[in-house]
Amino acid sequence: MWTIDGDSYRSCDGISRRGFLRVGSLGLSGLALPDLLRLRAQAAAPSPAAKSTAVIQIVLSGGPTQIDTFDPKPDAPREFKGEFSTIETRLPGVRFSELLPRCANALDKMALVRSLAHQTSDHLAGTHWIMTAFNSTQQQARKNERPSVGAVAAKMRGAGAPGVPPYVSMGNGFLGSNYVGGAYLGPGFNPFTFNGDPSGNLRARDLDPPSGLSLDRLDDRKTLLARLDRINRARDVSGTMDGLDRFAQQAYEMVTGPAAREALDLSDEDPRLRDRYGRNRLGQSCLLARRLVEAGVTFVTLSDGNWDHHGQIFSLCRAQVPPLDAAVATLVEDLHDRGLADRVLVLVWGEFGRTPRITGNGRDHWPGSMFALLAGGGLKMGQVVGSTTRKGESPAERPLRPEHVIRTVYHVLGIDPNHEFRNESGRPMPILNQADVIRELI
Amino acid sequence: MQASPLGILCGIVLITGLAGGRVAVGAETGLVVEPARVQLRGLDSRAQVIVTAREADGRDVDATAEAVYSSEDERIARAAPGGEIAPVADGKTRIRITRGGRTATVDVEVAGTAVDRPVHFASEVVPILGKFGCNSGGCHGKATGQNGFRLSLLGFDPRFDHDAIVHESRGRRIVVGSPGAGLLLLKPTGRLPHGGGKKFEVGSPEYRTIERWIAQGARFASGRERVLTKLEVAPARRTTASGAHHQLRVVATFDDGEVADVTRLAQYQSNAEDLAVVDAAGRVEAGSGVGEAAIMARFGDRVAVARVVVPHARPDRDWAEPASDNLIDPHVFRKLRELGLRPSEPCTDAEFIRRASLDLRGMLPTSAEVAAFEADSAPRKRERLVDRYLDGPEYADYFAMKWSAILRNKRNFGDQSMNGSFAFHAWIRQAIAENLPYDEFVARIVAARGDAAHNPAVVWYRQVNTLESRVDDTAQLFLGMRIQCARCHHHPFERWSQADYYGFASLFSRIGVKPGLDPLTPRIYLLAAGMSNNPATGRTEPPKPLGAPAFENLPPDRDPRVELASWMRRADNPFFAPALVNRYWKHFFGRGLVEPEDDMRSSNPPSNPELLDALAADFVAHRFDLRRLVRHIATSKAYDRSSLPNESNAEDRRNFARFYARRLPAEVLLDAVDVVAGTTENFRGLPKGFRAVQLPDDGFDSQFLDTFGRPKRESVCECERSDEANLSQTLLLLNSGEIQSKLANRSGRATRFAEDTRSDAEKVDELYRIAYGREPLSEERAICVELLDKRRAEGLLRQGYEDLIWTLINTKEFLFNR
Repeated sequence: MWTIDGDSYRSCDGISRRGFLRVGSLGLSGLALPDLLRLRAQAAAPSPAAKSTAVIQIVLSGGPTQIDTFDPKPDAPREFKGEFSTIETRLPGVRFSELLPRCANALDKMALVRSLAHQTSDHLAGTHWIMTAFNSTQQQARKNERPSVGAVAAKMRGAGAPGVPPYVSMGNGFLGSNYVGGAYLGPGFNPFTFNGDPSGNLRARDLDPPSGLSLDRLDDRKTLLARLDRINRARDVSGTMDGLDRFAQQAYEMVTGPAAREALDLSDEDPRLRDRYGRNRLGQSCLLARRLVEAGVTFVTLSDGNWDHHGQIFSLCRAQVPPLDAAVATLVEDLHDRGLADRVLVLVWGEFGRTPRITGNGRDHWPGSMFALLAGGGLKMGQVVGSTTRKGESPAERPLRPEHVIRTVYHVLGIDPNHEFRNESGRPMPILNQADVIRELI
Repeated sequence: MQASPLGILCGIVLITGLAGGRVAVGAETGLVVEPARVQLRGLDSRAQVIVTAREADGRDVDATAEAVYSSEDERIARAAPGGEIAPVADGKTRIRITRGGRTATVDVEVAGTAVDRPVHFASEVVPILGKFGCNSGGCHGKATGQNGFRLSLLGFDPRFDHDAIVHESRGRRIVVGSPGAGLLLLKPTGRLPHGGGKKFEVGSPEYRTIERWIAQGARFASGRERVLTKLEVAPARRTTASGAHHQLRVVATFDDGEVADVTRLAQYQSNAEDLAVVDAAGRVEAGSGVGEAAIMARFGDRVAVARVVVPHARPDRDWAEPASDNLIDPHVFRKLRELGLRPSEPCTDAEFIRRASLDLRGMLPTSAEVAAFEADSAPRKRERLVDRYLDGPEYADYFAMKWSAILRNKRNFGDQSMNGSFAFHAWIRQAIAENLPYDEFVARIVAARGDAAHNPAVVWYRQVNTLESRVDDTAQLFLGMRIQCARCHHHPFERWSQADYYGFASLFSRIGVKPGLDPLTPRIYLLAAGMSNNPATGRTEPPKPLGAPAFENLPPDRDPRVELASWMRRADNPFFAPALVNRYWKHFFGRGLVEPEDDMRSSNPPSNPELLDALAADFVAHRFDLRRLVRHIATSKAYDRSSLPNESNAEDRRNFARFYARRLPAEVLLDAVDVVAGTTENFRGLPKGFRAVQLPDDGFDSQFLDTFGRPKRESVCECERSDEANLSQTLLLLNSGEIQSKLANRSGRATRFAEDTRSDAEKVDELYRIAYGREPLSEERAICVELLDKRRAEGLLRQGYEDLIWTLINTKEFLFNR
């Protein structure tokens, strides 16, 4: 449920920067809260040049297999290539696993990075890496030590429309919602977390006020509050209080306004389109993600399932990959059909790949080669960037790290990759370590 | 700044100024030029002069940018607009400076232009890399370098930099035989693609310095390595009107006797950009704020600080200082007068008791307390109220909460670790209730030994359980110093080196830990030996407090932590008392004299240094008596200002011309909501009626407290407690089941008031007294009664009271301490 009360937007946030109110770009000056709110209000004011791009990130939590999906190795020895045959795609010479016919057919609208790698085979650290662009410094860190990419987007870009949050996290991935928080940016930049299953009975009631409280009463309360506060306007001197007004306005809009409620209501979607997405949690979540970015959400993180296939990998892939194929291909096609392909970037990846060599009947953790699928966002589509070695063990051409993907995400969002925030001890913390944008995509 | 009218003097008076020059006062002209004499050594040297016009009313106004400069002999030296003097050839000349019909002169002596003066890598080349940001943390200075080229952060390790430039990359960075052909000069001049862009021109002084250094063989040192011994910036303190400018001048003194003008090479940073900004050339522009800013100039491993006072554009000094015998007040009001800020009027009694109760007890005053206080006609009743609060148990509750958070008292191993965290909280609370002298409080924590069962203070070492966190927490919490930076590199804004850091770490290197009686709580004992290794040198550092001599050769039975505690409580310790009084000042005023309160360094000086000194001195002189300090603060005339601004101080946010309204902390707010709603929280495992402020540790789940910024006790920083408003909080108050269930509670106030036979107006009045400590205005009463009438007509009177209570707890007047 997206109950926008206290229970649901809890997230695994890191130590927040909290009241340490400074704006990184303004150097050491300690800005008071009102200054900050004013700056944020200015930043939030729609400017003609403001980019309206958005990102839907699908995290295949647990570490998806690359060889059985987007980077098959039909010529590798049997203990590497696995059970699946391969099929042609829209791109000559590029083959996918037989489980991905829809994506294969839509590859002209996608770009696949095959030569991604990093250095940790720990689920938590790997997830931390792809969610924040940094490895965690502490083993098994419970919360992200750095702001997640979505939190950075929330801070730097805000929402694209009133009445919706800038950043939403949803899904049931086994780790994918672990590192979604704002860390030292403060709890205000944590995502709005949405835990419901949109393939089930998800309706606008999830935005309803608590039992017994009608929208009419809420409206009366709002009016009464405005009248009483107005009498005491003389006290409203510090600007701090102005900030509350704006938050109150946003909150009312979310609860009483149509934008969020309508975005959540899948019932007015064409049933055939819903079928194409797949009548399952992932499919309908992708559809919901599309509706959210249409409504003005800037960043959606959708974490999916358990892709940690140490055993039974082939039967599990037979069950899990086709719904992924349908959901992702439909999402990409749907964004195209709606003219959103230049505005919305879809990113599909997991915390690492899986061992090219089969052990028993599964594959283990393998950060040495992994994939990222990108679509839209105004990037150049219809290409594969990089390749892996014959047995898929490591990048052969164009070795890239998760930072390069995230640098490209920031490029799409119009976020300065050299931006620095300050953490609790005042230390400048860059949002990204040195990484160039993936130039093939630009 | 008061200055006497300018007397008429004849001739030129020499006043001692910065090293490297004396000040020439062409007094009859009213134009002051600093320095009076300029010595330039070598063609790439430069000197900045500062021109000050002394106005008829005694004010000093910078005229460096507006003055016109002319050299008497352009073959010797030239002067550029803006006052930078450049050499041409050896010899002597004079620069004539005119401004508004007034004239002054500067003698210039140029030498060494014909000889190939040796370039010092550390003091001449590295600063260039710093000036252009090459070695900054966002570029080649970061731990991973940039594009394969890594420099030490901010140039604090010149040997490393020399090695990187000369020996790495197979010699492509420099070509001794052809100085302009190496990457070091090709990239920053834009002749080869450079991610950082073009930094300087071919032929600029910076270019030529590097070029000569390469041509001379790119040595680390020519002969003896020289050491920077002093860095000075002028003017040290200058009053500049909003929107006006003044020029800084920075002079470095080396141990070989050279005194060099490094204005062009120093890096500048303002600590308050609303008050003053500074450009790369050291030119300060006063901003729109009012107050005193610090401009840090950094060169080499030194920083120097210039103060900039920005008075109100329309100063108001026509007010009487409130009568006071409090040591705080003269300092606050003198500052306000200097800045031309009129203080707000005193707050009302109702406002004062609410403010004092919130700040001293963390709770709203009851309506009966407010009524009694307002009716009290005896003198000094505000002081008596503060005394009464200080003696009450709620003061100990509230300050135990404050200290428990920053001492990171956590149930960090689940409920089994509750024994330790409860005991430590009780120990803290007891210390505050007994008014244990602060030096003793800290000594018992820092030097804690034994088992938690006998000495709960050792629990601090359970949470603060790494060497680094012990070092960092001790410095930040008790000394107001953030020295973490020096763990990996020289502190960029302070004098602390890695040797200082690891010397401080050695104070904690002999802590032994065994399981105590309670297996989850350690027993702390003293190891016979142990020191920390400085990774910069590979050698161990003897235990050493910050900025003081090391404790050499401590015998095995002497605990370095005991020595540390003794050093802290010394009357001449420059950090310990100021850190605490600043922390407590912030508790009551919402802003530290140094802000952030635990980032005290020369480059972040207090907004009112005399006040901080006076409070710290009194604190030391009276044996670190916390209650005396609190009493001083809470009974000052500065603290009882109204939060209502006047025309003069509406924009003031740092000089305490009025009380700055601030949001109630999470725990205080939750308790206050319960008071108004007539409900109580049920905290797991605690008796009913326990207030949120009294919670002994972090182990009590509460969405409300988390959303409103309860610290997670994971860092020593008080900033972990968020006072930042956010959408989640508003949503929680607006639309949560948690709030609604309090409002609709069948034994809560809404239910009781709906059944109460008094008139609605009477009940509205009581609600106002409970929530705000005041009677409603008739207009407010009418609005509330109107809603109640509507709900009564609908047959929903109870819901009407729920709506009314909801509204009151959502008003700013309720959410803020003001």
